[in-house]
Amino acid sequence: MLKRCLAAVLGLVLLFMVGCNKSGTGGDGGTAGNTPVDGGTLNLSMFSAPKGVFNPILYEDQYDSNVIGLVFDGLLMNNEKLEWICDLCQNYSVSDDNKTVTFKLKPGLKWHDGQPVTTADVAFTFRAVLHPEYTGVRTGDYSALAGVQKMLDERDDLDTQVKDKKITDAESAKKKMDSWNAWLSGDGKKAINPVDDLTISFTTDEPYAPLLQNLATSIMPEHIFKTTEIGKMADNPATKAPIGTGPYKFVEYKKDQYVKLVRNEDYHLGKPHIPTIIYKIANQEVAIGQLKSGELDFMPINPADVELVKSDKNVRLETRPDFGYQYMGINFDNAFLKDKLVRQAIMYGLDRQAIVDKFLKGYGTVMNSHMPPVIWAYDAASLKPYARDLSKAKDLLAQAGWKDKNADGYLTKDGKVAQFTLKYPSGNKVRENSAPLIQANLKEIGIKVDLQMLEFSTLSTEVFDKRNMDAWLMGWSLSIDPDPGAIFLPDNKWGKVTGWTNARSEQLIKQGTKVLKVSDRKPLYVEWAKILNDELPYIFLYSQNVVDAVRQDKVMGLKPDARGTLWNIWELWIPKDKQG
Amino acid sequence: MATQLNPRRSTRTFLKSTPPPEGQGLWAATWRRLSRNPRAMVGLYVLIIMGLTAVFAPQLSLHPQDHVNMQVVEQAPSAQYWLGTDELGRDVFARLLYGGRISLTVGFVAVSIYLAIGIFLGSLAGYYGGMVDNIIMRITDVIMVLPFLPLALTMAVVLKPSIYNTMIIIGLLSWTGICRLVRGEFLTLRKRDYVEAAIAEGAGDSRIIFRHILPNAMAPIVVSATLGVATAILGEAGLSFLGFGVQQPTPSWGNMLSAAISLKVLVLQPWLWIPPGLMIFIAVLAVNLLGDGLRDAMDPRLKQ
Amino acid sequence: MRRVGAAVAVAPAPFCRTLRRGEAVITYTIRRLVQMLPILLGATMVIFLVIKLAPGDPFSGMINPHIDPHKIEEERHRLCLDCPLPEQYAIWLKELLQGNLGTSIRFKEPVAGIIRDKMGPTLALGVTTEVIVFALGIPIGILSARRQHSWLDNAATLFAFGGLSIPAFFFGLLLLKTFSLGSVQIFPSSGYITPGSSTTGIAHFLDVAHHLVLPALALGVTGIAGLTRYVRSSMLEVLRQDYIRTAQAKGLGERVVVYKHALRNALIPVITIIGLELPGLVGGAIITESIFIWPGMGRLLYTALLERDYPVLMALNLMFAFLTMLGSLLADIGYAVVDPRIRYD
Repeated sequence: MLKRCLAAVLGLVLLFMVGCNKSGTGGDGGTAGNTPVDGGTLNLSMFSAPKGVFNPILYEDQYDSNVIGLVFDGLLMNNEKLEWICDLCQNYSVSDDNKTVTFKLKPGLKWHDGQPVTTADVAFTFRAVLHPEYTGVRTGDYSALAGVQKMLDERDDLDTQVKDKKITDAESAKKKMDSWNAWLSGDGKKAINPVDDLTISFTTDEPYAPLLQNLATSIMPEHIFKTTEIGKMADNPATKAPIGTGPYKFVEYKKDQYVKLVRNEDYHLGKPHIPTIIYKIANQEVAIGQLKSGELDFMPINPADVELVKSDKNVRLETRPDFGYQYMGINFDNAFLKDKLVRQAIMYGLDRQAIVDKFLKGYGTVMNSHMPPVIWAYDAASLKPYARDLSKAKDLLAQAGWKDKNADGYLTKDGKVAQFTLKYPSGNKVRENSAPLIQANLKEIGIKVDLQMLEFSTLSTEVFDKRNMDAWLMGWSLSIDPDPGAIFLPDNKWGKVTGWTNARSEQLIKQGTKVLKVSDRKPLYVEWAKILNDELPYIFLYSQNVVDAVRQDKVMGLKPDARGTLWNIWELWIPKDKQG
Repeated sequence: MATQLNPRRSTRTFLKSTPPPEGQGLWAATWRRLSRNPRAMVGLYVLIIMGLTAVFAPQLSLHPQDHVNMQVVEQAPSAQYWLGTDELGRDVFARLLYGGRISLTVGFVAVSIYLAIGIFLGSLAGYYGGMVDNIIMRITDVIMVLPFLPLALTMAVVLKPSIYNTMIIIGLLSWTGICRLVRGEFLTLRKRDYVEAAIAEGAGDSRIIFRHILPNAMAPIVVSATLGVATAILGEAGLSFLGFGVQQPTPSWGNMLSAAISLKVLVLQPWLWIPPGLMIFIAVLAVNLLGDGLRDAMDPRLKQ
Repeated sequence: MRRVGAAVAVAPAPFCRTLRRGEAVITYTIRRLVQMLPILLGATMVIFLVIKLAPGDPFSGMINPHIDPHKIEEERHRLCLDCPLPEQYAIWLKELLQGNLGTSIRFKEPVAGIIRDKMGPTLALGVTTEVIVFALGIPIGILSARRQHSWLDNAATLFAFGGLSIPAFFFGLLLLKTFSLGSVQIFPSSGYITPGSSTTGIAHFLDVAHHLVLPALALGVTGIAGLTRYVRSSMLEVLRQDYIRTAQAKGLGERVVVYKHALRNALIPVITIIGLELPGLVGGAIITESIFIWPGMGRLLYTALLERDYPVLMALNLMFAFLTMLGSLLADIGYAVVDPRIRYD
């Protein structure tokens, strides 16, 4: 019986060996000229399966946004300096009172199904986000539009009444619809105002600088969604099989396997050269091998893994700073950490440069305040660098009254030991390694740190919902507009978690959104960043660079810059000999 | 005492279930047989040596196990660092020795807990059958369907993370497999003639269970224990990811190995994964050799 | 002398007796299935409680300044995540009884569909793996026992414990390096079908089978390791039973003794293990699935756990609960089949 089994297995194996020996890949590439040619398939990768919610206002998963980015366009996009320039629009203008932005759409734009793009689509997209039955989480981004904040306040009020059992859910829903209809026929008319098929204007209550960024979001086709109730938008087939205006059309998503896209022949910035994109879901470790064997053409790579590919002449590495940073958050209810001198001492005590040099292999920057280097509001020169200085750290702690009285290496004050628990989430290797480094560094200046690693959602609940922590490790992923209001205004869920308040900081944050010109905003943010640099509501750690690895023997026409490695995907091409 | 335990006598003992030589006699005999089994003794000595190196880790290592030194990260083995250093510049050799403390304790204590529960309940269910069996097996079913991972998440917040809690949780939730195995064995063994003979002679239930049936049901128990040690040592690291396990900077073989899980380490830094992997391998192998030997030594039918 | 009697009792029962036993087994099975319902109901309650008590909810992991905290509260209320637990359970149960497993909070589509999509690939991998495990594990175990301490036994032992001590991850990478990404490229490195292909019928089957080989091997190793040990150990135990020796003494050939008498008794733990593995057939394997990008239930369960996607978690755990109990029942029936002396009241 065993023999028969073995024979069967062997037979099966042989069958595959004969049928499926792949032809060799790699090699020195061909004699590709510099003229783009059409053809071939681009194999991209992502390391986690998208949820398949390819709806620009409903998706919650960054992997879904990879696909959305190829299928959809917004009114605006960025240039290489990350300024806002027209994408679907032909031009846009801001009124003299800085409250109204008017967009003129490019004529002749078409959805992937051939329908024309009009301002009705634009208005539909933003109205959907504000609709009371909208089930996504992006409403807050548009609260500056005329009358919206008032409407949202009414909704909050109704929610509270439901919670207190004063009214039922049905009554609340009806009242929300009433206030929505009132808004539509009132402020809503100017907030989102499609003047004609190609002209639309947006008006805010007060000038609001981040509005442009928020209006740059992907535009959705009204003709597809208008028959669906807003509350049931997730059930519309186009949420799973999106129809957009972008360079690539969605073909299919094989769950957990790949997303297949084909080029949009009518793409308004030019017909893409590469007919097909396969966005493969890949294991991050295996992907390195797949990239080297030519199965994948592109992958983001961990700094630590760079040494595995850097000797491969077919692989080109592209590095750029990221819109994010990592920090150690502080709970100001903790008596020890509440002392500014202690926080400064911690900054001096930490070897943050070692994190960048050793864990990130140099692909990163030490952070000293909230703004990462890629954002225009960053001004390194104005910030204290807090280079590691143990004697300074010890001085500061002594100044704060912490001394080592029993010579056990740990400081005490009023009978209490200088000690706190650092909670951190699992899942990010660099962050996981930073925790014991922080512990070891602070031990050197007499502070005892207990570490507790928690699963991500558990940690977020502990920190942001229950505030059951002394200090925690976490990161922020920011966007191009520097407005830090959502993170540092203390009336906000994210802002109130530290318990830190500072009147000047609040004032500067609010001022920063009321002026629109970069030259007017920058001084405000520079001053604000200095306050954080001194007050340290967070112990700022590092900002990790993005490192992308691309098959340079196959992917031609790359123009990597701050927008990304593949931002000009419709201009990329594959030489004839690599198209097979 | 133990010396009069000749083969014929032992057979009779079994058939008639007259009490064997009292007290430690049985254990002494077991030990005597065990000590004549070279394989088992190798297993035992290896485990003892591992235990000793863990206990005397401070004396044996050149560096403290949790000393972070960012100047010497990811160094290959050298005279200074016998097994190289990890990403934080910590001495892998020292961490390996100290790691044994956690891993061996977790492995053995957790497995002991679940063996105790599993064997006890499995014996009862298989021996008494009927209602007792039905109740115990349905409890087992319910424990088996408990979603372990969400439970671990809750524990991570409710309990203070510690090696003891880890062992207890692994122990309390993993007994179901062995319980079913033991019950399965008991179901057939209790119908054997020698058991029925013992019952007919009026031997007490506990005597029949522990003296007559259990020694014959040792085979799957030994295997389950051996596999369990490996699973517990590796599983402890998995629990850490959920916030429930040994915390940094305390090393364990499991968390050393799980920290090493990447293509880069596999290819370029073998000193980070081979040592802990090898230690787990050796420990499990030793447990198995010892377990096999114990099973043979407890089996009175086996002639020396 | 008495032992010889034992050997007779183990020999296959006469046909008519099997028939009568057959009826008893059916009655027993029906009774157990009926019993299963209330226990399953109780289990769902426990599962629900454990899942809901885990810290966090589907929204707690969303840490992003662009996410509107008010909107999150609204969503929590809309999904009744702020309702009292008994109410939430009652709603879930009511829907379940109407055949509705709910809608995934993160996938925004019906749970039944999500599970259905993964069922095929998961079963394909699970069944193939188990077939490999049993097809190799049992013979290796038997050979190991028959030739105890031979080179084959020693090699099998080393292999088994090596397989247990090397993380599945390393073994998976090793397979990929050897058969897929190195100089030999005979198996695909990921996925369960060739991307972009739309084959059907036999071609589709072959494509899936081709993708299946490496993950099934990777998964099989630990299974084989474990099973070999159990089989070897039980065989050793049975082989030294007196009735086997008697049979040998009576001059029966070794093969007959081993395969006809000893194996039958050594099967008890194997049956237990089959029963224990039943939920595993659809349970998937997180690490192997994520290395080979196999669209299985293991990763679904794991991401659902990390994202607290309650409807998905509940549905999967309910399924596992059912299969666990079914496995336990099948094992009991299996015992009665191989050992006619075992009776249930």
